[in-house]
Amino acid sequence: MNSELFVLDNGLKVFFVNDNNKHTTYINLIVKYGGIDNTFYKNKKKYKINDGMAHFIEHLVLESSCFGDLMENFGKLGIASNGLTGLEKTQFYIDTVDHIYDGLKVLIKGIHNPVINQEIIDNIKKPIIEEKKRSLDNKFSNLYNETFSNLIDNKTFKSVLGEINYLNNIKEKDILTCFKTFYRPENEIIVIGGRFDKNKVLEVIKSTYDELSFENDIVKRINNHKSTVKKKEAIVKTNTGTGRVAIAFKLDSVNLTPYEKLKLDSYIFCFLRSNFGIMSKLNKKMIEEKITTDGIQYSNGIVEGYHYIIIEANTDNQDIFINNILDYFKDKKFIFDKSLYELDKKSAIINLISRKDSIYNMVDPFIENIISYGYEELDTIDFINKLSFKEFKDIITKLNFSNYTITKLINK
Amino acid sequence: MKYITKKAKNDKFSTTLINFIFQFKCTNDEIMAFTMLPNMLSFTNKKYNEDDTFAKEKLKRYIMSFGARSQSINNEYFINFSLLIPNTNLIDDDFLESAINFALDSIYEPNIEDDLFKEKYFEREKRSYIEYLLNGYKNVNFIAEKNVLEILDKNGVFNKSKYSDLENIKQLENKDLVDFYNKYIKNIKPKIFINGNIDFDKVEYYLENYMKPLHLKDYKLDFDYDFYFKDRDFIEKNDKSNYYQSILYMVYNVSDYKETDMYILYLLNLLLSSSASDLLIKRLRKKYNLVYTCGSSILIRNGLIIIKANCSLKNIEMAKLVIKDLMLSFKNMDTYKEEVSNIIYKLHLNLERSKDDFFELSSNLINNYFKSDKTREEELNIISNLEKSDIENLANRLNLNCIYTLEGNNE
Repeated sequence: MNSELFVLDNGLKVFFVNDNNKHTTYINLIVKYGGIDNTFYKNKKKYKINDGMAHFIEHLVLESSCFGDLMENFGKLGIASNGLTGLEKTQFYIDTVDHIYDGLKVLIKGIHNPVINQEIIDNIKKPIIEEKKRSLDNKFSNLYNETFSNLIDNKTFKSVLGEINYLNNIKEKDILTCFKTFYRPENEIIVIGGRFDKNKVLEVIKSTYDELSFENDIVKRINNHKSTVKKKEAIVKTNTGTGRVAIAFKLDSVNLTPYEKLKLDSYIFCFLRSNFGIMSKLNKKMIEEKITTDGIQYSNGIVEGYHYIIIEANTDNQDIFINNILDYFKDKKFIFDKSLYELDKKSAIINLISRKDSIYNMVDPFIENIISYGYEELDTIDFINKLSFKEFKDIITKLNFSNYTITKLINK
Repeated sequence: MKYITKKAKNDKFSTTLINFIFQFKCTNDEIMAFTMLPNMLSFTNKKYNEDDTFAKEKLKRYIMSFGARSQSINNEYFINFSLLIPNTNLIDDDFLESAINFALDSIYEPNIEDDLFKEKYFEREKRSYIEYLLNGYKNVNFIAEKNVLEILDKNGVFNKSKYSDLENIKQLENKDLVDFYNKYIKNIKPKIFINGNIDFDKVEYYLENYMKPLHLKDYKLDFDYDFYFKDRDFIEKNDKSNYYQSILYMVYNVSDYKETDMYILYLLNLLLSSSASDLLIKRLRKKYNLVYTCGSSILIRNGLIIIKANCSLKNIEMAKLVIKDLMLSFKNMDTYKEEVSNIIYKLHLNLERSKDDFFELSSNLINNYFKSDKTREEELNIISNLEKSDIENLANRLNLNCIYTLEGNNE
């Protein structure tokens, strides 16, 4: 299966992953504006906004569009819909088997035409504050907010949801400034997967955007591009039965090409699996020495162009866990098991083949490729086949793991 | 076919799912063993008795996932082993037999020595479950659910709160787990379901080769459905906590609940919290801004609707009034003609959507055997033809059974 890209005159990029054997259509409108985009220049004037604005606008456009509540409207048409705000993007999606073209039109038009006044702001902020409280009660939200806040070396960023005080006093002027700055076709992409008529979809997108008006401001995002972390160590007190610790490494990969970034990501995945996964010696040691019960967990990703790795575990022996992990990285005692590497590769190919079974499994990683890696292609078997064990070893061995932040979660 | 219970040929997808399901009635004292056993059989077996080698062997056999989980509905208990593999036409190697035997080894050749599961894995699973509960006891949603289930358990229908009882797991011994395994799995022939695109005759042959010499016993269980929730005095309970948010539960039961009421209850739940209607969100969040999230669920065999709202302490009393008012409003279904028609339309679309969902098709195959002899089309037909008077009649039999509030202390 292939993807197709269309760039419209207004700068909007439209990606198709067409599969007319499916019964459903999955439409994503993504605004490249997330929780960390708090500082920017607009017409040479610098703006500095508090945390929480991108998330607030996501609620605003969904709940107070020119059509009223968008999700309610979609619900009546039998269309599933939602929005979510991440660190670097705000994503709106609809998922439908009927009313594809009407749904697409309502999505584009609704999201770009919010109705806003003080009463609406007051109404919208209440459930957002409840959402924030929910997040404060969640130990994992507390852990990851602290970890990412320190990983992204931006002095002011703490969380996507923002602080309750700020949300209580959020200003209409700031909301409009941010909305007009970021909700523009050149800062958006649309990705559509599943069953649809390509020409008809393109026509709807073009004609709907033509009906909208956007300001011609010159916008410059400020990306910190700092390879450093904000804080080396932090302690978070929250309600938890066992302690938990996360060690997040920031890797200096910002200057790699999109292809190289994606390749590095694949090698990191193999590296983590063989060195910290269920088949690794270190994981076995940590369990046998009762440093942790459930073993090591790991994840990796990319933020602001930097790859990161998070190694974490539930443990009350936090310092022993940390020392074991840091020693392992310091001495680069890494294990490169060729047979396991080949098995991982085989398994990656099977998983890739099975992706086409679900439009979500096709489209979601594709969006990740576009937004996080700048790689505007679907993952392919050919890409996996080109990965080599030798290059895997070379690249991982050369990585610098000296840049990390530790978050300890303890019971309050 | 002697070993395959139900199968569906599906060449639209690239994977095949094989489920091995054991169904039984176990006692309250056995609930912890029932909960823990699936993990003991999913990460090692006698042949590959360390979890790292077991994981590697899975990869060698092209197994995309293998695992087991326990599930209970009233006094019906299930352990479901699932094996996900690619369709054989996609892979050059002949891996099918070794993948099936790997799963069967995990079921029938577990990591047991001298009549005990390998001690370090037993200890680890037990400690892991204890830690899960200790963490749960610090999680506001877990605590609230546990407390509301304890209230509902008081008339003895559920026993659901036993799953979160720390003392229960602490008392569990390795031998209890082996006894449980011997009683419910060891010599029993499971129901086997296959959804995918592989040679079913070959599978049947491999299953017979492995299972015939074991002389497994077939089973047939008849379950009575007399567990409907009995009317009893209304209970209201408040607990205090140090969390930021408060949680409100309101539970309604249906008097004189009968089997034909099940579809009406299902529809009421969709009216409350499906996206085609979303009455709870519309009232609690959109109209009064009382909550960020709220929802409802039903225990269909018990005739119970459980409504949950996460909100600020100061909004709790108002939220109770709004929910009570909403539940009373079902006595006149003229108000909800549009919502009901949206729901029916959405259910038709979902039926269409499910054709793209491999796992939903697989679970329909299983549900159709165990839970309902009707197809999804037939069920949708019943719901579409429900009479307004039948729904109003059930609404008149709704009783507010309990209200539970876990109060947060930080506004």
